[in-house]
Amino acid sequence: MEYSPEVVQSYAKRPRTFVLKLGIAVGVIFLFFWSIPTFEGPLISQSGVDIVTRMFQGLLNPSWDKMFSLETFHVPYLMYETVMVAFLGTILGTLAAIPLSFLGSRNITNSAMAFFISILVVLIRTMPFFVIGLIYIRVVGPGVFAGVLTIGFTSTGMIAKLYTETVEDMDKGILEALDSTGATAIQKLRVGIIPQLFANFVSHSLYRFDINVRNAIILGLISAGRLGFELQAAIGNFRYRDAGAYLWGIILVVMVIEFASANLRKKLIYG
Amino acid sequence: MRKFWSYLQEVFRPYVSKEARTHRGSDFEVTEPYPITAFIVLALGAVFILSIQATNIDLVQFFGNLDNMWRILSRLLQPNVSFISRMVGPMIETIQLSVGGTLIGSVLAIPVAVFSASNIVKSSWVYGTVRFVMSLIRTIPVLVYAAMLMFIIGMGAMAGLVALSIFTFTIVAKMFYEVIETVDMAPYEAIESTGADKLQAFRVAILPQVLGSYVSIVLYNFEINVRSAAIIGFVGAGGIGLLLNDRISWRQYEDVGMILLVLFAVIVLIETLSRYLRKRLA
Repeated sequence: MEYSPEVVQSYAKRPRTFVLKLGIAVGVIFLFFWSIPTFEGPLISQSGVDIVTRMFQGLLNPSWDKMFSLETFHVPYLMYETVMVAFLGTILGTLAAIPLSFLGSRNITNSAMAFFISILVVLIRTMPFFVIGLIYIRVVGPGVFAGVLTIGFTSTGMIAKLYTETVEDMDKGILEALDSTGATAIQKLRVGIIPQLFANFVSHSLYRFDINVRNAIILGLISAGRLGFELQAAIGNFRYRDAGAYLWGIILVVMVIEFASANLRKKLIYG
Repeated sequence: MRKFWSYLQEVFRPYVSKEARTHRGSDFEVTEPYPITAFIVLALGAVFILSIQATNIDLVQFFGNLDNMWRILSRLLQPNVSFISRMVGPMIETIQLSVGGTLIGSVLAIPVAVFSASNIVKSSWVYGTVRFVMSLIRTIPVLVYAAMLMFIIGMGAMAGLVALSIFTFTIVAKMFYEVIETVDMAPYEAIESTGADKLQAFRVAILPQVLGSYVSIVLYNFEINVRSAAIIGFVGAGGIGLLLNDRISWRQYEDVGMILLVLFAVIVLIETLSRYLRKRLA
């Protein structure tokens, strides 16, 4: 088979990246072996396999009584409670984030103030939420109330960051136009600012609400929530059918909220 | 009283009659959409009250113990610098966990992402099933995986690594198949028409298009994983979280403050590095 000289020529001039590829491969393999923790004993032990099989059996045949009864502390109630904790936490976070985001926007306050607020927001965002959770447990005792406060605090960072971006994208020309009509501050807020920001603000809060539902579950692991706590207790006490029911509860509540939040956000932004 | 009644009528008219919302101009008429704002506000208010009821808010206790909180915070703000020598090891383990979890998870995610992309796998049965199973696995938070693996593998960093790998696997698989679905399929079909099999065609025609996005996704997941790896120790799965939990339970808040400070620096450093690399890739 004959190739035309152009093809042969451009093939000869193809980029030679063999050394680069080799370097990347060696680097990745090195990183991989560096990162594997030392581990004594077999990774897959008999008891481990046992627990996994029992867990799968529990998932396929969960305790239906726990799953569908509307009693307090059974799965539907725990799902409801999880959503409520996430909801209230998101409201708290949003309320705290609104002033922070306006104070932190470079087009509203001076840059020193904006810088200070942005540092504060990054600090809040990097605080691991279990640390906040344990501190709140010290303050108000274990339970879902500590969970609400934790979620409120940790949401503030991310919501404030997203809100600040929205406020910084705001069109200030509208405010000048309103100024020229002699509008008062309240009127400017009502027709110039709120309509611009509202959809994005709600969308960001809904996004965080979705995350907060997961966090409300996880907070159970440090006894600042109940769904995660009950799951851990069920596995620890070898109640695998109950564990299956709680797992289905987690899967269901996360899926429903994720779906609802994503669709509402799509509707808000694209109409 | 009569005035009030007519006021009420005025307020509620848009809810009852379409005419009240219709504005007639000389050439056209517009009808405002049904005013649902009030219902949304009412519903939110109801949920708010329900949520307060469901979460046993106890403001008296909260404000009563607030000075306790200030005490903790003020001790957090006086970090114990000499503690740094004890946290180097766990800190490195945290980074190791996030690197390992990211690598394992994102390599395993490649074949799954290919099988959930509707432009590569034509059978909606296959990609539908794969996506559904993956979305089931994805709903479980990484810390819940870690907590469950405690019982299966046992305490230690290995459980953390497995948990992070599972979590990364699900996220990368989803993000990557979404990228694969946006590629230009023309080169793929061209290569296939020369008699290449699907794997060869994928390697030559699809992979170069998605490789940059893939690396970007992996780096993004690495950022997430550093944060997760930092707290995964709270359930016993290794890393700096183990030490944090220990210091908090001993009420050594000065040490906690130091850990948080270093953690903050490490997270910001890694995020900056990863964002720089991702910008270069884009």
